[in-house]
Parts: sequence; structure tokens; C-alpha cells
Amino acid sequence: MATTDGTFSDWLTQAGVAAERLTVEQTAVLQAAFCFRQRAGTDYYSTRMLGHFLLHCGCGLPVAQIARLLAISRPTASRQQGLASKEVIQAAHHRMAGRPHGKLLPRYAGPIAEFILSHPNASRFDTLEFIERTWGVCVSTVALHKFLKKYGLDRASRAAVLASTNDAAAVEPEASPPAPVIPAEPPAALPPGQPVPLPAPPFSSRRRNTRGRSC
Amino acid sequence: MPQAAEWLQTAQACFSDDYDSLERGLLTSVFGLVTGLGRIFHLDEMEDRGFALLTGGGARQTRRVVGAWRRHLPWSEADAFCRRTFPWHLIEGQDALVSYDEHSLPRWTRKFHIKKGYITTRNKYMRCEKLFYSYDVLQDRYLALRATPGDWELRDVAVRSVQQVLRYGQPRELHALFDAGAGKADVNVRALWDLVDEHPNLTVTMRACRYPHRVKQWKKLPSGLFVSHEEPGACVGAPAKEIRLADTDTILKGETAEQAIRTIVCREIMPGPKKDRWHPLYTTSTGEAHDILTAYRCRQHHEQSYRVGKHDEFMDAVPCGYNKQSPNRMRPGFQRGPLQMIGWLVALVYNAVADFAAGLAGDYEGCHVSTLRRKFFNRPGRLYSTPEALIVYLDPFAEQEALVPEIDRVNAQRHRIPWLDDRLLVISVAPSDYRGPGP
Repeated sequence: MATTDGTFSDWLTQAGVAAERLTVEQTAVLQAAFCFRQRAGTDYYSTRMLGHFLLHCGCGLPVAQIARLLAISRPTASRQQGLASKEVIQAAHHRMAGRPHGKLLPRYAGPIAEFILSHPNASRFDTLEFIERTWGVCVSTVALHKFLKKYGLDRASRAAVLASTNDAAAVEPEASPPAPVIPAEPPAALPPGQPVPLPAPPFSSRRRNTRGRSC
Repeated sequence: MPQAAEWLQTAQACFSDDYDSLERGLLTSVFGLVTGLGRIFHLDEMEDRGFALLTGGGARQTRRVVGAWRRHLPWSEADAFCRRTFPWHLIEGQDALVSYDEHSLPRWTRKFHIKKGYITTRNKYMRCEKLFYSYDVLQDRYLALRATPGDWELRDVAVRSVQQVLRYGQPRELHALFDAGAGKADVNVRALWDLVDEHPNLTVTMRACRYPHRVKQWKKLPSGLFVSHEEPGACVGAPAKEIRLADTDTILKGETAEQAIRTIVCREIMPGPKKDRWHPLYTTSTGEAHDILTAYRCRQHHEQSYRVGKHDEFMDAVPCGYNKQSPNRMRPGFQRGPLQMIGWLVALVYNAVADFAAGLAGDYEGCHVSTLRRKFFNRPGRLYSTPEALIVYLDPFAEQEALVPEIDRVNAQRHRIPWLDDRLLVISVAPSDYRGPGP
């Protein structure tokens, strides 16, 4: 629907946007967008960047109108709402990188777990970029999701662990919550002045179990 | 880890776990040998969360539970475990070269009067207990074990041990190698030769005792009977050694010349004014003398395995076989269970570590347990316990690339850890030229 030929009014007409209903600010933004499309073209990167701008510039255009202006589907435009700029660029790169190649081996789980836990806000594209940078394999988001789910590293599993941890803390505020990650460090030494805890009960009773003394 | 899980499963089928200490006791005994836990009382000083997880739980361990489990193992249950874990599949249907030898465990107790035996390394009789192992010298794996009091000798268990290997191992051909202790008396030699007559697939070679009257006879053999062989010297550049082999017969005490047994007399020529060394071998083999000598020399692998067991796996620290709770310290009795069980765990760990070394990329086959421990087992790392898996992430180290094939094999088998809610075990190493997880 959207073309680089024709005039600004044609572009609006093709998208079903009534020019008389646009505010002055919206018209200015769309004129700038039209100019951008004329110069940069309608390739995937340009459309994605322009869409991200229109969705987040606060001009008040409905998502459906933006979708029609950019010639993308309404659900696609909706999915792109709320994404960070970095994520948009990563997603565009991932989309245009072609068919994924390589395989996620089980032994990658350790470094990936470390990455995810040290970067709790990392997006899946960050993780994919980390994988590609570290092992040189390019995998799909679906493969990554399956891998993370298999080893309990996906967002849902981590959220469940955190929820159960919080529940336990709510029930027993004194008890130390079980952490999802167990550090391989020795437990901290007792503070001075504290009594040493008693050892576990012995296997054998302290009572003599022979008829006579052994010596 | 996979082998330990199998042993635990077997042990759960064999032992009555009345005190709920089997899992912790067995796993600590196994992984203690792997990681170099010299004595069980060292557990009290350990602050290793990873070791605690590896051996049955997150709580810190004390020696009491583990030590008590080890000391109270009933003989019948330990024997059942051993029978199920003897690796007979290694020799089934194959030509096996099996060595039988003893390892003496000195006991320094003055309180309990236990039987004495001869300790070769100390050259004296002293209180001891003994472990008689059967060892496949071609594959360098232990096959079986029998724990005994200190006054037992190799000749007491030789025939039964060979019968055990023949019956359960089912080798196509068995060549049994014995040290001189199996033939101290001619009647012991004859017992083994009678066994050879019963089993056509059995061959026995043993070093003959160098009793003075026999040595005198061998020295009188005509020089034309000896065939000279040249062997490489002690090191590169050293002069070659000369040995002379003679093929003769020895008549055992109270027997006739028709019953004489084949004897290969090896005379090692010593340079200079030193006396020559004589190494006589009794054998039922019909092969070439030099081939038999070469096969017999493989028995040294068995002696080497004892050295590794003693220094790397603390074989001498197995629990005592005498009853420390006995009301009569002069006759404390003999409890075979602990000695047999822990002695066999030492052998199982030795075999498992050898399998591990064979699976590594590079020339690691035959490495000692302590070498592999230093290079691969005792490595720092991080543990990530998720609801689905326990991810072991080893910190980068020098020879980690050798570990990758073995890690891939273990990960592909998808082993689950029963004592950690059946979590999947995943092992990872840091990628090559890895600088950290930064974006």
C-alpha cells in the first residue's frame, strides 16, 4: 500500500488516514516520516526504524494507522510496542541474518546460565548475541527458548523460583530463603561470640551395645 | 558420576538401610577417593558446598554418619554388592591375562590381638589384614577382591580365585599369573596344576620359590640349554642387558619324573662383580619361553596399581576388619564386611578413573589417579541449581579442552541425580579464549 512514489496526500489516502483529522503536530511528524521514506526507501531496516519511531514518538497516532502507513500487519506493529531501541536493532539484525546455523550443546549451559544470571534484564537477543560471540553459532529464538526451558533457565522457571523464594520468606521471615543459584563458596564462618552448633546425632547410640567392656 | 549413581542403585538393592545413612556413606566413600579425602575424619574440617551436594545433600557433613556406616557393613550385604559390581564383562569371551596378588594392610594396634602376616615392604611379621585382588593386566582393571585376616596367604586363595574368574568371567582363554606366594609348598603348585587339568582354557604361570636346593639344581643346568636374549638397558644410552633363558622341568616333592612341571629359568647377567639374578617360572603354557616371560612381566602393572591405590586412593586407610567393640580384645574376631566393601570401592574408583582417562582427548590413558585429580577433578567452579538441572560450570583451566569429549559424552547420556530431586546433570567448561560474560 505504501509507496515511495506519489505525494504525501496519496500516502495518507492509501493508508486510510484522513488528513483533515490530523493535528498540526501529527501532520508535521508524518511529513517528516514521508520524507524519510522517500530518501531511505522501504527496506526492512528503514521500515522497522520508522515504525519504532512512530510508535514511540508520542504523536498519538493509533497503532492500526501506523501499521497501514508502513504496510505491516496490525499484530506485528502491536508486538513492536514497548521495545527498547537496542532490541529493535538486534531484532532487525536477527531477522536479516538469514537461516540460523549451529547447535546449542549442553555444555554451553554453564556460560549461558552465568550470562543470564549476571544480566537479569538481558533480552533474548542479547543472549543470542552472547552465544554468537562466544561460540560462533547463530541459533533461532525458538531454539534458545527450548534450551533455556530444558535446563530451567527460562524466564518462567526463574520467576517461579523467585516466587517460591518470596513465599517461603513470607511464611518464615527468619529462615534464609533458598537461592536459585548455589555459589561454590564455603559458608561464612560463625561470628565471634556465637555458640558453635551441635553436630548431627551419631549413627550409633551412646549406650553400650556389648555385654562387656571392650577393654 | 554416572558410575557412582549405578553403584548407589546397586547398593540400595543390597544393603538394608536401617539408619538412612547408605546414600551419604557410599557417596562420600566414593567421591572422597576421587577428590583425595585421605581420612574420613577430615570431613569435619571440610567446608566444600560442592562436595556436600555431590555426596547426597546440601548440609555440611560430619564424619560420624559416614564413619559409622563404613564400620557397620554386614559381610553378606557387602559381598552381594561386590558380586554385582565385579566387572566380568571386561574378560567375557576374551583371552584374559589375570594377575592374582595380595596387598597387606599393616595394623598398628597393640590393644587387639589380631593375626600377623608378612609385610614385604617392612620385611617383618606384624599385625595386618590382607586384600587379595584379581587384576586384568591387559586392560589395567581390577576384577575381583577377597578380604582376609593377616595370616592368610596367596596360596590359600589362589585356587578359589581362579575358579571364581573362570566361573563368572567366562573368558575364552585365561592365563593366570601368580607371585611366588602361591607356590610356597609343592602341594600348592600341584593344586593349581590339577585345576589346569580340569579346565582346558586355563594356563598358569607362577614364579617359583627360590629354595636353595632348587636353585642349586637350576644352576647346574648345562650352559648349552640357555638361550641368550638381549634387552634394552635401564635408560637411553645404557648398555643392553643380557638374559639367558633355559627350558627345563622340575620334579615336585613326592612326585615322579613323569609328573615334572615345565620350568623356565631366567638368568639375568649382571655386569661387574655382582652375582647373576635367577628368576625361575613354573608354567603350564606350551609357548615360547621368551613370550611367557614377557607375559609374566605384565604382572608389574598389578603391583603398580597397588602403589597407585596406596598413595592416591589411601588404600591403607580402609576400615579395620577386627571388631573394636569385641568384649575380648585378645580374640576380637574378623569382620569382613567393611574391609571388603571399602577395599572394593577403591578398586571400582580406580577402574572408573581409568575409564575416564581413556575417554579424554589426548594422551592421558594410564595417568595416575592423583594426576587426573590435580588436572581435572579438583577444579574450582560454580554450581547453578535450577528446578530442572544442576549445571556445573568449571572455571577456565589449562587442559580443559581434553575434557570436552568426556563432558559431551556425559551430557549426552542425560544423567539425573537421584539425591537432588532427579535434576539433570549438565557439565560445562568455559569456552576457549573466554573473557567473561560481559556484553
